[in-house]
Amino acid sequence: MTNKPLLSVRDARVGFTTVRGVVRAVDGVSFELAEGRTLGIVGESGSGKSVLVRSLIGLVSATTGVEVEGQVVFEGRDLRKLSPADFRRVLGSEIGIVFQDPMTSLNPVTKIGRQIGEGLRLNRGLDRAAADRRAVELLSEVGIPEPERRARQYPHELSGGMRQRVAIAIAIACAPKLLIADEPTTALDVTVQRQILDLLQREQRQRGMAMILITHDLGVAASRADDIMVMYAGRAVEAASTREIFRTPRMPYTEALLRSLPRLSDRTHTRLTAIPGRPPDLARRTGGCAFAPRCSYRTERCDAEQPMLTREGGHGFSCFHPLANGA
Amino acid sequence: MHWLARQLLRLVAVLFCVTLVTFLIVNILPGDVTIVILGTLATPQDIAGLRADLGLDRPMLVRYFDWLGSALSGDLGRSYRNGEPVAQAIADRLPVSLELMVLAQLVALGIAIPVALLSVRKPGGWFDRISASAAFGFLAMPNFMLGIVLIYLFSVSFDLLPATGFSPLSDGLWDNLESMILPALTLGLIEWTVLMRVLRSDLLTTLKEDFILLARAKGLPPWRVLLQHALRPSSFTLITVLGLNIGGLIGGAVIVEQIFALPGVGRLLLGGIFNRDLILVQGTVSFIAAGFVIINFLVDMLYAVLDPRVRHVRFRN
Amino acid sequence: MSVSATKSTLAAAPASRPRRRLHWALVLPLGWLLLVVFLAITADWIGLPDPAAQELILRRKPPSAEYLLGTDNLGRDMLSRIIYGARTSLIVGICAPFLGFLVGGAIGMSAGYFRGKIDLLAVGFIDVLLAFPALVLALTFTAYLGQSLFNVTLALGILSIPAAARVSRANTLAWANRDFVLAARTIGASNWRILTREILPNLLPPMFAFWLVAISVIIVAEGALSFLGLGIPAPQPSWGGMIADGREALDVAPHTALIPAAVMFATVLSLNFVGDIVRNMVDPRRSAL
Repeated sequence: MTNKPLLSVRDARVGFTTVRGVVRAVDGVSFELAEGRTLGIVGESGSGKSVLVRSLIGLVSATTGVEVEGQVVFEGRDLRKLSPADFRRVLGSEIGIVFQDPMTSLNPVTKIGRQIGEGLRLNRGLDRAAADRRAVELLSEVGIPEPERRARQYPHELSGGMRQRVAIAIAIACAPKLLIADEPTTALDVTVQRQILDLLQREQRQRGMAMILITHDLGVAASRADDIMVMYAGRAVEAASTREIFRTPRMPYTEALLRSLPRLSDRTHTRLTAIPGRPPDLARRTGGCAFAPRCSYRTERCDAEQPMLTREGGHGFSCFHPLANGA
Repeated sequence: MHWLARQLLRLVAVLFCVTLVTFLIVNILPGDVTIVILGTLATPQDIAGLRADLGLDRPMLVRYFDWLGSALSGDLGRSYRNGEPVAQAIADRLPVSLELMVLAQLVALGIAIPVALLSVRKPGGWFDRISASAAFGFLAMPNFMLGIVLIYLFSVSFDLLPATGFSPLSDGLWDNLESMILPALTLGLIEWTVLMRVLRSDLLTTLKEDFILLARAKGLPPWRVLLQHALRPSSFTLITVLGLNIGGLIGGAVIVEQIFALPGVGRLLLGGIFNRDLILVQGTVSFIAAGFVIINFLVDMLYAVLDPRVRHVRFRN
Repeated sequence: MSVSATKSTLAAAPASRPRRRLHWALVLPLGWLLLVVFLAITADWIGLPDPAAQELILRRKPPSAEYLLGTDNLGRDMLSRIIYGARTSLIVGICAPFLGFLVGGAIGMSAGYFRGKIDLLAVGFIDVLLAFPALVLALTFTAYLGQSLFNVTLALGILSIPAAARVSRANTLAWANRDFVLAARTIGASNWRILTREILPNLLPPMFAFWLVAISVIIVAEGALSFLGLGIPAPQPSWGGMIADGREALDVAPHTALIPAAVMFATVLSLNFVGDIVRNMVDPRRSAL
């Protein structure tokens, strides 16, 4: 265990210029991730979690009208200061990414084996034959039967779950140190979701990779992540170890999220509590706490002033009226 | 394979209709070949005799099926004017027209693909804006006008290329190409605009897909992402449009052959029209229309071969 | 000076830029089109020389004070011929698609509304017409109809039937199942009434946008026919025919071909511009094309 984190993000900001003005999709988020650990980033859709992670690895900057700020240090190198070629080398060989929908994340007109081998040829210098062989090995490793035959097929010939396995094979092909899973199970059948999460976890442990697991499902994060960061309206509103978050949530938003989860201990037919209202319009930020309009603890101060992330021990939260410790 | 059979049946039906319609147009409408052959001073007896000789006195449908029967065995009849077999006349001129259209298509694709790729690297950037304006401008230029302008620029002002005339391949490759450059440019410089617009818009759609992000996440440099991952899935509309545009290309070839005095099928057709050479016009129009229908059919097939998804749906279900 | 000017436009960009661009892009082409239409209509009364009057001594003269755009191969006044040519182009360009849209629109509406056998027949008819390369069909028609302004218009009108039928059929299909049409049917409105009162008004905007595009296509087609010598017969001026005539003297008197070419280019370009804008207004989804 080294003390230096594998990845450290400081004050990340992403703004999109639209006709309605600048949308601050990510607004000053910082976090650290140690080797081999899993960080769950949890939030509703539109909370900025995907944009945050994609911007870190330079996957949103190509579009016009996007502004990315902040510092991203990966293995001691500031990614945002690397030359494009060096950056691509780090991205290709040390960071793997799995997207939400395997229907769209695989190239429809390229054979699966080629798609897996492509990164290997580019970043590991394998020739075509060696890359094809390795692709077959990877396919069998992620649990795809008849890997030789599958490698010669096109994505549309596979089921959704199989395709997500292929996407995982692509992500781990170059043995990355960091795996980013962006809602990897959202687009899949419920029965397959668990298999995919198991596969991700197994690969992570075997390879000692760090993982960022982005999900809107606090339950998924609970069972797979070491630490959890809750995002709301582009800001990190609570960050702590998974155990802490579940035992003593401090931020009312997290509490509301927890209440909306079904529990085994509940009586049958217990109604889940929905969070009233909707996420705020990011193009029209108010000066206050973004969650205030939906919060049951709201006071005048919440509307006037934006709470900063405060830390108590390893537990960070941004709220003027944190829930009592150990409540 | 069921699908293929249905398509083939449809192809045959359309071919039948097309030849029939051609026959009707050519035969119902006024304009008398006998006057062209015999001159306006011919006596009614002479004209009647000639009509009988040419078989023009029989009922139209009989004549059509006669014609269709021999056409199927490759005999399109003989020109009323000089007795040359129509099939032979077409065969002699077809290579010129084909060469012209293939070269024009190469010019169009050779401009459209790189321009589309460069435009989407920065949508709304200076290159994108200039190429869009250029495309808009060329689109407003009829091919006969562009042909004249090109002749004026390259032959009259700078005397670089021959204005008219055709050198067959037997004169040497360069001579042949030299006589084809301006005609091919005339057609290609207009065609590229449509192709570029279609490809550009499809590329922009494709570039928003997750698999492009994934390709970038693999560490591929931007140009490889464009060429290896974006271009092929973006090219299906392009291929369809290539097929659809062949009609325009054929029409364009008729005009361009006339401007540059190229001995192609289009000029043959024009000659036939000016001379009221019924049987020649019937043969060439049928041939062109049939070729057009068959090319469109082949483009449909090509589409199925290129896109594994379509192949899957059509051939397996 | 220039720096501050750019700055101020940049600063005001979000509000004034789109308006200004629309302004410029509309005024120039619209102005040109209005000029062309005005001259074509008033050609007889603005003191133009006879476009067919030959002055063989004054052949192929470059533009001068007396002949503003010079003279052609036969010593005819180019300006006069271009303006009378505009009349030809406009008559064919406006009437031919109109004719096609009357027939094609009716075919497409009945096909889309009644469906079944009528639809099958209409689609088959359209398919066969579309199986011919357009120009080849036009050539064949005009060649056998005989060359005259009316016949050229007729031939090009027939050519625009398939496109018009397709547009109206697709739109009728879309509208025929809307609630207000079903409502009209339940209160017992006749098919004729539904077609003319309920569907037709909704069909007009897309048809109008398409008609604008068709005008420029037909003007080009008429030019091509005349260029090939199969369009408007000889003494009557037509831009395509003028370009064809000028082609013979391209080396000694390039203006005889290039001036009508430029006029035609400007007209088609303007029509495309205006057509694009109108189409975007009618159907925002197609603005990408």
